[in-house]
Amino acid sequence: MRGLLTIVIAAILTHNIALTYLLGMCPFISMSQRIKTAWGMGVAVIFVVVLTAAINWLVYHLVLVPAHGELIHFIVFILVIAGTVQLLEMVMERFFPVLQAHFGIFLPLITVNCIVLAASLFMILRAYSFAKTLAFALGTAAGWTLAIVIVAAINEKLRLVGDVPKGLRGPGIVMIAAGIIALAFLGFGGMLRIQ
Amino acid sequence: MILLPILLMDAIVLVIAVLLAVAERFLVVYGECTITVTGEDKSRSFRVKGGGPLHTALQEGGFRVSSSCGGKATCGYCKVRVASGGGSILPTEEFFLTRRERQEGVRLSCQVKVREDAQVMIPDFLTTVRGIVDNNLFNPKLKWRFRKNNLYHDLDDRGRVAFREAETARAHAIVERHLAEQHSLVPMLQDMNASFRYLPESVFPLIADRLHVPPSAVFRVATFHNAFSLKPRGRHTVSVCLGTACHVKGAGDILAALERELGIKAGGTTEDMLFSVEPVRCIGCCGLAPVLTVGEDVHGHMTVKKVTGLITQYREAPVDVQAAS
Repeated sequence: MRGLLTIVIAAILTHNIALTYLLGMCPFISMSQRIKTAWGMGVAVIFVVVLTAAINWLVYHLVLVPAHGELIHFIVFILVIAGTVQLLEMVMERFFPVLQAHFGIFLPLITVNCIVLAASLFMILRAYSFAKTLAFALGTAAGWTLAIVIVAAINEKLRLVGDVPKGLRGPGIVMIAAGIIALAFLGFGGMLRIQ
Repeated sequence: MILLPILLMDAIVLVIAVLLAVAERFLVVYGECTITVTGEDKSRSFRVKGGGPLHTALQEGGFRVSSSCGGKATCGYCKVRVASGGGSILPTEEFFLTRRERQEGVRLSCQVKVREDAQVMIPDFLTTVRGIVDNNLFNPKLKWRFRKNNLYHDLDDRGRVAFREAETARAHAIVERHLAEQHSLVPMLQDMNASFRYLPESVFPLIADRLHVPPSAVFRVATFHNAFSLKPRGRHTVSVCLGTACHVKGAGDILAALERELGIKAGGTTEDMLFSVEPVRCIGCCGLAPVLTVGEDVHGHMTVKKVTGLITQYREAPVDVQAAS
């Protein structure tokens, strides 16, 4: 249990996927203009990352390993993620229209988001058990959400001030803000270590 | 041995595909929806299978809505007005819509999902252009807004100059006259420009329709040549030559005197729609420098002192009926 908690906290703070691995940058930059959108995207990412990591773990350990097909896990993961998101969208549209209205529109964007794939690949690299995989996926996605919400909050404040130089507006200032936050997150670095 | 992973992957793809097909069969139950489209000149309704984006549905129904990003909500070109059946505005659209557009029910058609019968209004090309101009995404010098006191007063509900029947007939006559020739667009526009003294917005769809080209093509040619004006011009166009010879002989002073006399800037038109002033590069009569033309008349050896007399002479000249009709 302690091991799981360590993984969650480490994935959120010391090994934050957006700020230390610089993954998932595309939605990180484009979706961080408003806190509301950033939050919606973040929740959708948490949902999808945990779900796909779990399914990918099962596919890897129950299908690929017994059949000696580890070689193709990369491609299989991509296919599984794409299929899962499609399926999830249909299920949500049919049974949870409220949920769909909230973050359903982010789902197609997430299909090609690299943190979803990264979470699945890291769990193979680090040889996590199923429980640890779930914890890691949850922490990773929560950490990404935390990072994008922080950057969105900074962006909102910056718009209130409104004197960002013209050439830096948009992605430029997001990159700089993300860099400074990444430096701050570096301060957590010595706290724990995950393998 | 090498075949094993390939077979394995094929099996997985097959499983996923079957799962998706089954899910689609049982989960997606929108059925057919009727989409009623009100366009600028054609209105039609058609039935389409629900569940897909409105943009795709419109394309299947034969309505082209421009888009450059392919449905990713990044270009913002596919705006349509959804009167009913579009659901609420999504966060992905908000960035592209002004407050006014949101009130009018403008949506990005690539983001609207067809779930029920919908009523859609597709803005025509020129409305789109005006939207771009209003949002300052375009050269503001080409603004089509002008004061109402021009010759063809009435503005219709879309803010463009309304054509009266006689004017429509006149425009049609010009189009028909040139239709037989090849490459007739420029002569057509020239005649329009001469007849109306500028290119009213209403002639663009009219010409485009007869030439079977998009209005954008006509618009492109019309904005390329300096000789065409999108703004109404005065009865007399005063062109001041600013070529080298005239410049040396003091054409700048003449232009300044004209501007002062008429109370307008170069390129402008007086309130009473009598005079427009525009600088031109060279008229080709350097021997008469400094020279200016009023309509077809050439006035050489101009001086600042002569300007007032010249303007008065044209102001009091009888209305040239031929030019106005």
